[in-house]
Amino acid sequence: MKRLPMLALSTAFCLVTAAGASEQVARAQEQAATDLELQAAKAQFEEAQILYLRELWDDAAAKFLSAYDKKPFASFLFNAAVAFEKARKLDRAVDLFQRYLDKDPQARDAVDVRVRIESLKALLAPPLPAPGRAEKVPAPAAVLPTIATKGLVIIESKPTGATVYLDDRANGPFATTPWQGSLDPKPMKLIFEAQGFKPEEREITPRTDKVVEIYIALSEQHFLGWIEIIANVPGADVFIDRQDIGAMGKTPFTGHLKPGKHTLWVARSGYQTSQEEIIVEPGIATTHTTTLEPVEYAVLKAGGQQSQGAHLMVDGFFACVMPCDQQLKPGEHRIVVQQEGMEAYRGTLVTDRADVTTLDLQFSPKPPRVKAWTYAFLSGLSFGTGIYLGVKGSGIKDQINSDIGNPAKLTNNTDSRKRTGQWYYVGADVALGVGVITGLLALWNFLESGPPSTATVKKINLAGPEPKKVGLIPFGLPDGAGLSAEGRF
Amino acid sequence: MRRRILAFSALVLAGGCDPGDFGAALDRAPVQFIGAPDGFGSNVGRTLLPLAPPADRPKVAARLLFAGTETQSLALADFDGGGKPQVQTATNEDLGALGLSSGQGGISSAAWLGAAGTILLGMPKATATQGQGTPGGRVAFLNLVADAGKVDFESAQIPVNGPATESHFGLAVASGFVTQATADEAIVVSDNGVHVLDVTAGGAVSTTCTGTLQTPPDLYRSLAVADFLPAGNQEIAVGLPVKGGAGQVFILQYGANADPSLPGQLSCVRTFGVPDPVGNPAVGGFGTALVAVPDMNGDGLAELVVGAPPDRAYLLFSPFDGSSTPPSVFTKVKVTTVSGVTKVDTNTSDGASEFGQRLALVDVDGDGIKELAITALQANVGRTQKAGQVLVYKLDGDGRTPIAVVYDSNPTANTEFFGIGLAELEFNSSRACAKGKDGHLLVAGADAGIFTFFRFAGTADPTKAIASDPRCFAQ
Repeated sequence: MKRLPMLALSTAFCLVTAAGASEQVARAQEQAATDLELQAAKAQFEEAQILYLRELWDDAAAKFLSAYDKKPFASFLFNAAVAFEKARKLDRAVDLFQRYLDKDPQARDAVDVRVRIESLKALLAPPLPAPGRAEKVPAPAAVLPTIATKGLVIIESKPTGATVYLDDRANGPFATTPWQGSLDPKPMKLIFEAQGFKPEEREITPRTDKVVEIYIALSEQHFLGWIEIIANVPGADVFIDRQDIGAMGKTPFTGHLKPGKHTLWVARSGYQTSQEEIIVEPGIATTHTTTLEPVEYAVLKAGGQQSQGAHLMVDGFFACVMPCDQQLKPGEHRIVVQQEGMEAYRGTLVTDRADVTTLDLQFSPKPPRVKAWTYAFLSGLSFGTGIYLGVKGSGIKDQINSDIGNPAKLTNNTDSRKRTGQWYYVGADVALGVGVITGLLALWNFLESGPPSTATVKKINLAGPEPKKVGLIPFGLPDGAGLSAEGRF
Repeated sequence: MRRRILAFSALVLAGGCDPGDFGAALDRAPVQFIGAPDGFGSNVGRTLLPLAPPADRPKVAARLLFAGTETQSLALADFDGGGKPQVQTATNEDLGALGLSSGQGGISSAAWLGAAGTILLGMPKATATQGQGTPGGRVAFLNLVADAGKVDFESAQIPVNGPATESHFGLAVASGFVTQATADEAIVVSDNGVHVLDVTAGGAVSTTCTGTLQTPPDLYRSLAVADFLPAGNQEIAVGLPVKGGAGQVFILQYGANADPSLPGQLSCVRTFGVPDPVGNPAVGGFGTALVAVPDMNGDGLAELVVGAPPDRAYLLFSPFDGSSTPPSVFTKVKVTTVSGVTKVDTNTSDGASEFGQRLALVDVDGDGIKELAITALQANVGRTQKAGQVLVYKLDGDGRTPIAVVYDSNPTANTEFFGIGLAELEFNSSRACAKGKDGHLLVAGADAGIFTFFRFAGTADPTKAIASDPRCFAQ
């Protein structure tokens, strides 16, 4: 059996990331300094290897076992078994190989070790041929294959639980940190992955004469992704995940975002709000392009001084209490705004889809109705007087008619009541006439309007290139009882 | 009240209150009043002359001529089928043609001369000669000629002045058959004489009786022409009240002259005062008014009613010679009017009402027998003093119980002299409407105007009309 060259044991193998090498080294040193048992085991292991190379098999085996006492790595038992086998203490070797298997039943060389145990046992006491058993136990090799001690690879990570792949993820997971064991002394690549952390890869070459300690401090993955949101309409509001907290910004929008699945809304007045689900990769910049379609309706923004509480009527129906926004179907609409104590505004509005029309009202107060009420009172008084006089006159007429039918009453055609009754009737007619005139005056004053309320109307078509200013032209009502203004758009 | 208010509201909706409604209603009043047309003074109702409705105007139911006694005025009222009078007045030119000039008084009397077809007008204040002290008076003959739907007052012939020795010629006029029985003659009374005019001879005075007549204070002379005596022709009764004395009535009879070439003479064949012991002979008002009454006592002669103010009237029976039936006495009893309802106290005489100032015969109840209307010129009406009343009596009644009392229900002033003119007006509404009913109306003149009574109640039962309304709408 060829002896393996004695190799100096390295006390530590620190892997550091590019981002924080010094920190990881310090952390490894700190860990090493604090695990005295491991350091002692390493020291015993290295001494054992030196003794092994000097072919001081028993001493080497003793040191391996001493190291095992410090740190019960299965490899120490294997190496002690190998040293005893070299020392031809096969029974001890068998025992230790068995303990090795017990300690690490999943060892990669478990099958080989079992075969060797059987071979060694055969050498120790060749068994008598037995009819049933000879067929089941493999025959020990005549010459045992060469065996050498194995190194020890200790893999630890922060965080623990990282998945370790050898050479390629396609090979499947190799181990989960923390892990210790022996690896073939050949160059290989360790791949570490842990959820939420950036994967790390390291090239190593394990040795049979050294304890290779690998400590990987995995760095957290980059937390935010980078997104860029572009819309065909600049200035659109960008909402992510929630709309109630307000817009994140306006298109074109760029910014960091937590990785994961997000809901993206892009909204702007005059356009239909777009919604889509996006996935943000950590540390990855992605661009999302949204096309906003103009809405199918127009929007009327009604407001202005003294418009608080005014009622907006569209096409004869109540729309909203101002100030307010009202959606309108494209086309011609008759707009009426009524405010208490103010002249109503009347106008016609022609809208197209995606139009945003701002109606800034300037109300004109209604004229006072004192004169109207005065006329109404006089009218009522006159009517009352007229009715009173008329009833009196009618009574006289009835009395005359009654007397005319009475032969005892020598009523003549110049009866003095004729003139009295005529005066009553004339008075009634005058009073009723005055009542009618004052009533008409009252009606006129009730219907009298002040200067028309006007509005400044601005219309913007969000799909159009430029906003347009629109003026107003006042117009008279058909009944002539009021004045208002009509917007011309 | 609610119904009235509703009715009035409907009225207002229909077009307001029409003051004309009162006129329309009062057009159907039972008494139609004709006021004083322009040019009439306060004596518009003193001279009344009912005329037959004109043949050329079928819608006229009655016609009444009236004149002012103190003013130059003459008018004609045509009543339509509804009783509404249409008044036409004579122009000053017309009156001038009749011989009536401004400032010479008015027409005190009028009479219809049927045979001549003219109207005789007495104008006692007319002056034939300028500067004459006492007006000589004049009569005129009037023709009413239709002219383009109107009436033209034309003078039938030149005015006739009285004899130069007479004054106030025309004080009273009448028509009759005094000298002959074939044609109407004009009887004209002056201050001191009675004259019969030969109408066919142009109104020349043919017969004159002068003597003891005196000028009455109010230019009214009572005159009645009828067949009072059995001589054949009609006689003339003239009253002569004497203020402060004993009034008398003269009956004049025509007598032919023995020489046929000479005109005959009017002789006073009867003279009598208040019959004793029926009344007080010393009553000066006896004879103030006269009206001839158709024969009542069966002798074929007319009777005579004599007004004897202040409180009596007498029905004297022919032949007025003491052998006839004792006279009937009509006494003014107390009549009160409360709220238009007349109450008669037959037990209480009313001696201060100038009862008997005017007399007329009117068939007020339409029974074919005429009743006697007597004016109480100063009777009180309601609270109006001396407004005047006319009381209607049955000629064969007790003389104390009027069957009706009429008056101005709307007196405008005291001393209105209601009843100072009295006449019977024939109202022939059958001319004006198919269902017209003819009737006899009482027309009473006053200084305020003329009242035509179409209907009135009797005093015995004020709820029942004794004068049925003959107007077209009442049928």
